Amino acid sequence: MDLTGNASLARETLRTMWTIRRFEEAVDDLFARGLMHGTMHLSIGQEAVPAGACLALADGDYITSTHRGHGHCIAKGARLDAMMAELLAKETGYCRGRGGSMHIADVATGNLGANGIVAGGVPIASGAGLAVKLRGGQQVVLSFFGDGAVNEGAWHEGVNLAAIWDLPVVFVCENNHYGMSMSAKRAAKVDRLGDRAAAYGIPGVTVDGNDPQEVFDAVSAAVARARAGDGPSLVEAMTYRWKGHSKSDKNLYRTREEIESWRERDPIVRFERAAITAGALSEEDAAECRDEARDRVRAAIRTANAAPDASAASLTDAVYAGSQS
Amino acid sequence: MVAKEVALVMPKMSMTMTEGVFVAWHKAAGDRIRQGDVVCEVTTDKVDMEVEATVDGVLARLVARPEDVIAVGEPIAYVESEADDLLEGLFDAPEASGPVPEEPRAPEPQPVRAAEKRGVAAVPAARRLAAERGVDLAALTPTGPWGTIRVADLPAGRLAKPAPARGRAAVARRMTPSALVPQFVLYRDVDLAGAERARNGASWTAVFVHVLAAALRAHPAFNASWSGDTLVRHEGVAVALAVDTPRGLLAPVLTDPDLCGLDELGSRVADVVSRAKAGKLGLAELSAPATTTVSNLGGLGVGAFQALLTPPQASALAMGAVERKVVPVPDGVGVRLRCSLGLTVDHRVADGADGARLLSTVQELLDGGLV
Amino acid sequence: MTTTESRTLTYAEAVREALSQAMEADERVFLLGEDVGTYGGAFGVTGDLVHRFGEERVRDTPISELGIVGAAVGAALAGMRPIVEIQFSDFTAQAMDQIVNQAAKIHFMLGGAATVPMVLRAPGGSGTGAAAQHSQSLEAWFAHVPGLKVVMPATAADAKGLLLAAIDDPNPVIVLEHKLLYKQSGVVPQSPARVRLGETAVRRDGTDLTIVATGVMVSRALEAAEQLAATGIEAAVLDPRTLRPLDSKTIVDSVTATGRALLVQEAPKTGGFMAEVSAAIVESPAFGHLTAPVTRLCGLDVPIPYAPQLEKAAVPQTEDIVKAATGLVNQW
Repeated sequence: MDLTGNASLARETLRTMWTIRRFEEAVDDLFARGLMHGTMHLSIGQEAVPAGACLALADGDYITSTHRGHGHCIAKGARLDAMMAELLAKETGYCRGRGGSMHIADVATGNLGANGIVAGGVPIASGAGLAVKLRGGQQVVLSFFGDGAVNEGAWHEGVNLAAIWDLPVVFVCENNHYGMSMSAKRAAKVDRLGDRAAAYGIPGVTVDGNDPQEVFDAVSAAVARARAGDGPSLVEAMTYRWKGHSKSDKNLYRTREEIESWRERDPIVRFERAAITAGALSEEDAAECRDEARDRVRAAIRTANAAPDASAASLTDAVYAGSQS
Repeated sequence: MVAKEVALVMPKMSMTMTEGVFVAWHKAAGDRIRQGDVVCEVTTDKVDMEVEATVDGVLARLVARPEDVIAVGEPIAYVESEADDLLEGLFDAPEASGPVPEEPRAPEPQPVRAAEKRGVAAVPAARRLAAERGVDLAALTPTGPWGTIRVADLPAGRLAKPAPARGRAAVARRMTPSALVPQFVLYRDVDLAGAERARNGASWTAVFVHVLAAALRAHPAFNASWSGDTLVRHEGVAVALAVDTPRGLLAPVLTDPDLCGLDELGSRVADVVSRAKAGKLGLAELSAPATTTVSNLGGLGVGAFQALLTPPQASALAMGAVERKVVPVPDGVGVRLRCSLGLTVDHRVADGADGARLLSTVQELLDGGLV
Repeated sequence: MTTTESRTLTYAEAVREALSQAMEADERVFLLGEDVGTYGGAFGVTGDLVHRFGEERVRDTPISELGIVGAAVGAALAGMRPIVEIQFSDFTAQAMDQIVNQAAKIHFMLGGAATVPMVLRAPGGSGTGAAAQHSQSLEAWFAHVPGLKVVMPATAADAKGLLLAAIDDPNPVIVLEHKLLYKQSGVVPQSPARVRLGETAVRRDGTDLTIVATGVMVSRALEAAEQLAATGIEAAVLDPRTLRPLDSKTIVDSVTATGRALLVQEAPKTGGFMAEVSAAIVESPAFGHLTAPVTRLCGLDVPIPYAPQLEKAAVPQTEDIVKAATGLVNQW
């Protein structure tokens, strides 16, 4: 499917990317003003990966996410007000204030949760794939992780299990070039992390992660294989985070020039131009997507801010499921 | 799209950052800037951090200067920008950072009442002491939680181990610095005839707390502390009252005791003394800063004594026994209700004559119906 | 008493100074961990060490906790003195096999033929809003494993002195730092003076009760003791510093004198380290001197929540210590 050629697909892709961008800009602003607790990992500059990948999924499909997970959440269809409420430590947040940015999950839309442990979600994705297979279901599980995760034992073990049992899993590596400060080039000997697939006997590709079309095509092919029972695949999407790893990053491990060169390759601006050039969208349509994203984020902040703060009175509830407390 | 001024704020750049020190501008007023451009540098927790522009536009006004300490969320510059404010000014209220209101703590689990069991419940130390002294535990009345016999429930006997002197360390900590203060004492017998008519049931302790506070208010130079090499004057008057308790000496503080009526002060003093003896004083009453202290040992038969200053207080009043004394009167001798006062003064704050004048004011207040 | 130059350093600077003095003194000492090089450590602890000692000895690693600890075990077996930084103590869970089944047991399994002289540093504790997977206090896990030594420095001076002693030690030592303490300052000796492992510090004398506290709870206990003193309650404050081997004698002596023990930890109550301290008191001659039940004040049995008001409620604060101590003294 041609995302830049088809008006409704182009609009959906653009709207998703702008929503992620605006949501994270607002979060950045709130944190900077001291209105947000904890820490934040922003994916500004990487929006094309979740937007393109989640477009290739159907309702009922699962994802596992990471500490840099706002984009995955939004692209999978999470409610912005419940996300924002969580970040603002409200009782109406996705995790009732218990989880914060790093642990947002939305089981209703198949998001099994952001994870603060790098590669923690990879074996979990394989396990969800195993459940689908045992139940004879048709769902696919898409596991997002960063370049930093591929050297964790959990990553290798999770990918290998999915491979030997032909589980319906798509492993999507968002290679944003750095695991905190460690360059992906220094952390692995292979030039392309997509090539690692060969070691597990599964297909692997490396695509331009700043182009939602390339991401969408590669993930669509992998999803089709998974649904057909042909097992997992690995998709490496090359992208870049504009912001620091978290909140106290002095950017000592990279140059301003490098950051600048990637900002020039803004995935959203690029897609917008391509869709306008292809005639799928007018300038007005693009502006409308932007305004809509802004208005949705504003409404989410208003709703979340008016909600009651998470209460300590029931703090010990929900440590265990059922009546036990 | 309308250009408007957008505040560029001191950003929070670590989980614990509350303020930053401004280092230097990398851009000048009037420069066109893009979101993500480094505009200046700040230091937080000894680390220099670059601050990026949050919007595209023109740097209109620079607010921060090098060395300025700026709280998170406070403006460091304003940018002329057409960018949408995603927060719609929702958080631009004066409160720069929103402290979260204190929530009640999650309820502590209540201890379950121990099941009735044979034998007597007693803390190990009580069991050991009872055995040493030949006391039958079963004959005692338990007052501890869960019906447990505490050490305090044993009849007083030869204590196996000397009970630690309660509160001695606190007194030592509080009073040792007093030895560094050059202090003198003035003694004066005051006449209580007028006060006796006016006190209306209030204790003499309450009367002297009241008049001392009023006298200090009339002589503000005394309501002060010597600090470093300067005199610091205090706004209000607060009198610490020395109370002898089973826990040792406690000194709860009465703020502005001369600003309420003597009846009210009388009940305040009675209440605070009884709670001090019962160990039920609040932390606030004990730790509030006092500007003077009143001690009364008259009840223990002391005629007159010298109190030590409690730094940083500059005065202390020692009350002897209030009693009828034979005194010279015009044309002979008479019997009058009197009390010997000892006023201790920090010599760095005031001189002897100043102290004498303060005591005269005390006598005038006592004579003048305690107004 | 020899005088030694002292100045004020932050806890993080004190750790860095210990690392650099150990590296200067012994070329076998080297550092490895995630982002310890150019970045300077996630909490800024290693700072500029990479510029002073080079990338070989201040070794950035991929995100591979199991591999990092395994590499340290191997290097230690082969004659080096590696110091591992695990970015958050929570991530030790990913390295548990190498810590528990390898590092802790090799010396014993080989009948004493080999040693594993390595140090693993990791920041633990809550208070920064980092939520459930980045805020745990896991000291009891490690203290439960024979073959490991476990250290929890509560002051800047101890952060330096205990780390130097840990580096000297021929056994694997887990040093659990607290992320809230990194920016706290204290007087630290210039000299590489060691603070011996296994010695409980008496931080304050008192007659009415003994408060035993670890990590960030030590400073909270000292603040509480100040407030208690104003109400006439004199609390002794003890800081075990080393959890394994534990110097229980100092604790027992103090409780024998005061008759009451309040044990304060940030970690959840169930199965926590203070249960061990409690048992050590009750099984000792201090038993007959107890005038009150040995009492624990601990974190709630919940994962650390994100919201600031919930995070505060989940672990003991100074006022909770004051309240518990007051109850213990007045009711008993």
